[in-house]
Amino acid sequence: MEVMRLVVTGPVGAGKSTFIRSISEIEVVDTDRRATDETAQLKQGTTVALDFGRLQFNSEMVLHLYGTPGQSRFDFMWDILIRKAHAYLLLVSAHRPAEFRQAKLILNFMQQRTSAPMIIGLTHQDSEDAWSAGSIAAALGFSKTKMPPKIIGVNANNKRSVATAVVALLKEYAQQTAQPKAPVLHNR
Amino acid sequence: MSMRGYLSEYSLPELLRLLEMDSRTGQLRLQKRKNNDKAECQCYYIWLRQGRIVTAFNNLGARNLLQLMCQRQLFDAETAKSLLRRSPVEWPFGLYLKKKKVLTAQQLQLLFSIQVVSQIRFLFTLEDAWFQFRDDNELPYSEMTGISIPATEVILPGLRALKKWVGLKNSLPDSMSGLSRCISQHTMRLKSTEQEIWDLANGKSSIQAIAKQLSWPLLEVQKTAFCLITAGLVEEIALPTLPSMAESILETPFGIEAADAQSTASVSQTFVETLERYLSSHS
Repeated sequence: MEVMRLVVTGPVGAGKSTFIRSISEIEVVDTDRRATDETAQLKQGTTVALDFGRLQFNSEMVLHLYGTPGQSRFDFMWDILIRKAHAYLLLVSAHRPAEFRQAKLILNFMQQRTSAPMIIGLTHQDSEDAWSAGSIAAALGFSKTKMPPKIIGVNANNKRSVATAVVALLKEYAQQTAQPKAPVLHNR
Repeated sequence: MSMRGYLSEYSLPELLRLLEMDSRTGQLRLQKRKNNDKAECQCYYIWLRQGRIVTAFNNLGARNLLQLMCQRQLFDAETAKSLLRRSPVEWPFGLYLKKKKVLTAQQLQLLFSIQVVSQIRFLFTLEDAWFQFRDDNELPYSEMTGISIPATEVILPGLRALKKWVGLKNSLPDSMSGLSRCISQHTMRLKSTEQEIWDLANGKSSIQAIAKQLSWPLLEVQKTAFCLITAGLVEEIALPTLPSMAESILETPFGIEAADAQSTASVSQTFVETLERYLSSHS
């Protein structure tokens, strides 16, 4: 069986669990437990461990989707997920500037540990308070000298939108695997 | 490109740094939260050109720079108005006065310091305010001295002088985060406390560990780290909160263990193409 593992990461409330639910053929295995810290104020049941979804589209091929823990602790679970990921998607709520710092930390954490292909998905772009993709890229630390990865809009509740995001990530994967791999910066 | 929110979500020093890094031109408007429904909204405006601050004032319709010149008794109101009328439309007013030898470079520098540097220092003390950055407004040339300053040159001295950090408490780096240098060497004149944090910004020690090593209160280390972050010298990085455990002793989550043998293998081109086709036809 050929397995591809995609990791969906991002700050609390960015839509990771919803994203995986929208595409998974199985009932998403989530280990949602009641959050006990400030996260509980933002989201009633946040992902303490991880979400897992699956899509078997061929008798010999299956896509696994993993949602990273929603809280801001970077524990061993992250390391396991990152090392096994073929590609990853960073989801960011475009209308919550308070979460941009956390998104930047996550991005930095991922980039220090893997050179896997990635794209950024912006949710809630229809909100009046949504920042533009360019502004969010700047808030995540990208600039004219540090070009951002591909950024797309995503509606995590919409199956078609989620499928489009996964296809964009697949294209990024196909493009990067066709090129020699960049070295991974280890900062541990 | 619009950016909006509350300073409690994204602080002013962070915003200014972002606008500088992204070389933005436009107007940053801050609107203080009203204490009650009858209170008038107090607004403040900061203007940037290519990421450099060119002016700041709090009354959009008024002649703020002109009034400041009169307050400083550089000339009387009538003369000031007459000079302003003759100033070219798309020229900073201060630059015109300098060219006409009405004001010296030193006088303009002093005006800029009062108009911009002091104003922004005051704005750092706001507990909260709504903000919006817009890049579709024309620059207010009549409010400009012709001098500009990189945002980071205002941020660091402004934060050093800050007594009330209430409005910035949500922006301080997490105690479990680490600090990593953005540049290998800096040329800024740092305070000894800032230099000590810089020396320990090795990307490995948490802020909490740095506080312990220096025997400083954690909050002081967080504040100093925030100064260095917004000055572009260091960046906050996430550190693992638990030591990385050997995978063999872990109960790995769903499917990862089963797939372990293939974990480092790339998926085939056929896989990618088949999945693309499947998603395109089933969504």
